[in-house]
Amino acid sequence: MEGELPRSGWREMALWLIRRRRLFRVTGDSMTPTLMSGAVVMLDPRAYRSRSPQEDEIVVTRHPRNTGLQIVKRVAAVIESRTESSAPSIRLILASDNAAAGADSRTFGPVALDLVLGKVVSCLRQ
Amino acid sequence: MFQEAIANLIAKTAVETVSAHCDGPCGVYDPASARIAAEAALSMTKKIIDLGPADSADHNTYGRFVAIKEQQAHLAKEELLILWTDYFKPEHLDEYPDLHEKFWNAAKLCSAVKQGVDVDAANDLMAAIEDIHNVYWATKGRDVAYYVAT
Repeated sequence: MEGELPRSGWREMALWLIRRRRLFRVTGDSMTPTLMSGAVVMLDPRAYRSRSPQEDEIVVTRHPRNTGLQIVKRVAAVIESRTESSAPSIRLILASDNAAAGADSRTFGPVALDLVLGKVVSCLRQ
Repeated sequence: MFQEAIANLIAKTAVETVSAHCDGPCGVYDPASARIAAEAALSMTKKIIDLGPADSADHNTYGRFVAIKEQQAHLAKEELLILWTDYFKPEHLDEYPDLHEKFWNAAKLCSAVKQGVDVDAANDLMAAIEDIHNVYWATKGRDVAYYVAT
């Protein structure tokens, strides 16, 4: 289930130039072996404007208990709850690839979609 | 090659970081924070007993002592629960199968100290925290002597 992240090609770099991608440097080991500490990844901030996150995608989100902290995790499950009166609310169960090193939704619970900054689409440097 | 070089140049401009750390980024845990709160609760328990039956002039002091005791006992419980749930991992259970029992008992003792004026419970809590101190530092491979402030 742990899909590899593609390397950033020319297209990704061009999208970064026109500000359609954001760069993030990864610190910590909870996403190894997919992302080593020090890796630089590209984030698509618009990925979830027109669709919901899917299982297995890697996202950057604010920590639910400490919104000043941005974390990178893999989507383990998507919970969609529908109510009659309002739009469906989407929450994500997030997991670390390296489960032994990481606390994730097992400790901080599901994460609301509005905390998600976008989808990690490629890896510029491993 | 050329693409790799450009990628590396762009990568150098990455200033924002995302954490793939365990939970919070600090990773600083120490059973001492629970010990200090438990020790304060023990001290307040003794002070309440020393105060004896409160006459009207002492009601304020009595009330303060009780409030501080309850606050510190609650804080000790919070600190223990954070240590239990955030620091300890399943692999620690292999070496310390009674880990959950230790924390559960310590948390229950915090409640007893908070609810009553019970020196025995407060002393038992201190002993439970000393036990947890020993387990915690053993998992870190460090020999850290236990001490109390009073």
